[in-house]
Amino acid sequence: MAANDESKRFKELEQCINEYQDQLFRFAFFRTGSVADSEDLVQDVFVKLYRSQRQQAPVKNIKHYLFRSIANACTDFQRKGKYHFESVEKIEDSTTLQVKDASWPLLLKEEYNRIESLLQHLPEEQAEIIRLRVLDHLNFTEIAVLLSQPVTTVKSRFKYGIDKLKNILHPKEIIYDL
Amino acid sequence: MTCKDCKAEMHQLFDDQSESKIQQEIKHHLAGCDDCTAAFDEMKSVFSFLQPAETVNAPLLLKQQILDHLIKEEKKMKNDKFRLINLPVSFKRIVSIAAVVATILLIMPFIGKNGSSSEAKAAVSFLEKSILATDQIHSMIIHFSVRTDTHDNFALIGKDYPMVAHTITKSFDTPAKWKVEKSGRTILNDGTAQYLWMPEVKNAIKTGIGSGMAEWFHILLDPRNILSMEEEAAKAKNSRISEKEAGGKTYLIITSRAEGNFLNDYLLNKSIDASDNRREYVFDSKTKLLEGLKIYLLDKTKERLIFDLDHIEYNTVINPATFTIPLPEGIEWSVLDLNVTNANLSNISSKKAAELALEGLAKKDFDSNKELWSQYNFIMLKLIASQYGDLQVIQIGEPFKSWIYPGEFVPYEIKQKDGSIRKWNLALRNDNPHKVWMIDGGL
Repeated sequence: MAANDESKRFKELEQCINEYQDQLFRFAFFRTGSVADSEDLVQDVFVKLYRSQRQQAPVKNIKHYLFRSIANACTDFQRKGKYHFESVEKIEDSTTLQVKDASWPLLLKEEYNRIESLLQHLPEEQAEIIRLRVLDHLNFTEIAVLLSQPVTTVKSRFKYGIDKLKNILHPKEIIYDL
Repeated sequence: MTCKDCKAEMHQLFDDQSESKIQQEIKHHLAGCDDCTAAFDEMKSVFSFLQPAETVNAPLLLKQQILDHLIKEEKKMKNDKFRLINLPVSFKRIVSIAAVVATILLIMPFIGKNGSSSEAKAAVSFLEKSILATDQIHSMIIHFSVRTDTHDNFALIGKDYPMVAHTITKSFDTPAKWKVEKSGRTILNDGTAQYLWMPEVKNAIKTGIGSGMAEWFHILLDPRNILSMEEEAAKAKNSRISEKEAGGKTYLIITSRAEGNFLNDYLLNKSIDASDNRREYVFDSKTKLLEGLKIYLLDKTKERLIFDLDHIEYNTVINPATFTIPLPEGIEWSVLDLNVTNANLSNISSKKAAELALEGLAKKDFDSNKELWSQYNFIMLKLIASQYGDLQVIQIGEPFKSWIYPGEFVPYEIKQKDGSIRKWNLALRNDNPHKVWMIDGGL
């Protein structure tokens, strides 16, 4: 009986990994910029889920649980100092960020640098909502639940963030009255 | 729909949920309006620009690594049923990273010095001299105000709270003693232990000498700490720092961003560390002693004074009785023991711990998992029981983290016995030797 339960739990976990590992990895990668650390964080999240199922504490909304867990794991990761919170001067002066792993394809590094250097122009609460919508493909309601914020706040932060980036990418021409 | 409405709402088209009425109206308007279509195309181009050109997927072997890890864990559990295997998977990596971090820490001050601007260098030099000057201090009394709640933690700030008067009294003799006071709370370090006294709820807690009850204020307890902290920040360029001298005073102005992470901004701007702020120090140019400090919360475009140091008295005689807190009759110091064990509370999620806490509250049962309530004495528990007893749990949400708070917040919604509904977040932490979840706030 116990062996059957174990086998069933492993199958369920495998399906879950198949469905969500890419999204969770992407989430972690765009918060840490590190492939190795992202792998560790995603592994921690699935291990935690499995342990929770083993302790007969079934998770009702798997997707929400996993995203909340990876978000918490990334916050923990950053709190432990592995992530360098950029100073005001650095943010204003820098045009690119550095990715830590030499083994990752160059193109991905460039993509991470390109996106993060643009998002650095935004307040973090706007940047994070844009990451969640654009990179993690969560809809506004899912983002609101994840961040424990009203949907209206999420939408307005998304709009202000996109508007600001629009002005950076497509600056309006100044017309002088002569 | 007008063009103004359309431009204000067109971001709603970026939601991929089922089409709403507003989305239909926007699409209808766009079909007949070139100007709004152009604006929407610009938004789309930003959205597209942010999409990674290369698909970021998990490495192929990740799934197998996770499954292998769990298979090993299951085997170990079978071999030793009574031993909990709970090492984080990233543990091994930490050891190697630690060596690298140690090396970086050794070289970082030199990198910072060489990389600083001349203005920052001058400021750092001034701070170094100030640190030397503070070695001559034997005692001090600091009078200051903080925008906070008198009954809450010392760390709490908020732009809408009133300015609350505080006093810090410190003796630098051996052993060093200090007291931090506001009308609703007092913390004392008498050289042997730390004490927290909350007179209105008659809660008297005694902890070890190294406990962090003074929270952010610990940096004010020794001017050398404040200055060295700012010096480190200046060297590491985590803050903007500038110095000017006028009328025998030296002014240091430091602007820094909130420390930590705000994936969830629940704790943003609720403490000095967790806020974007500007700190303005005033020193006597001759003695280098600190004379004043103002801290402004920088909230988007507005700023608000949240900390105002009125004056400091150095080397005054302090009555030894200052470093005692006489308790009313019948009240004793309850020792806060964090080295507790409770298997029911150490192998569960914070959500489950919150469930147990609310179940206990509903039954006024604080004994079944008494470690949950370690931070409360019997009087506080009596008060809590009178308010929350017989509650009904409506729902408990998923835990979340914020800032650098070591615990987690669990959203809850309850119906109280008077019929009122309360929605709030229970703060739980388990950063104690046996990882036992304890209630840390939110009631």
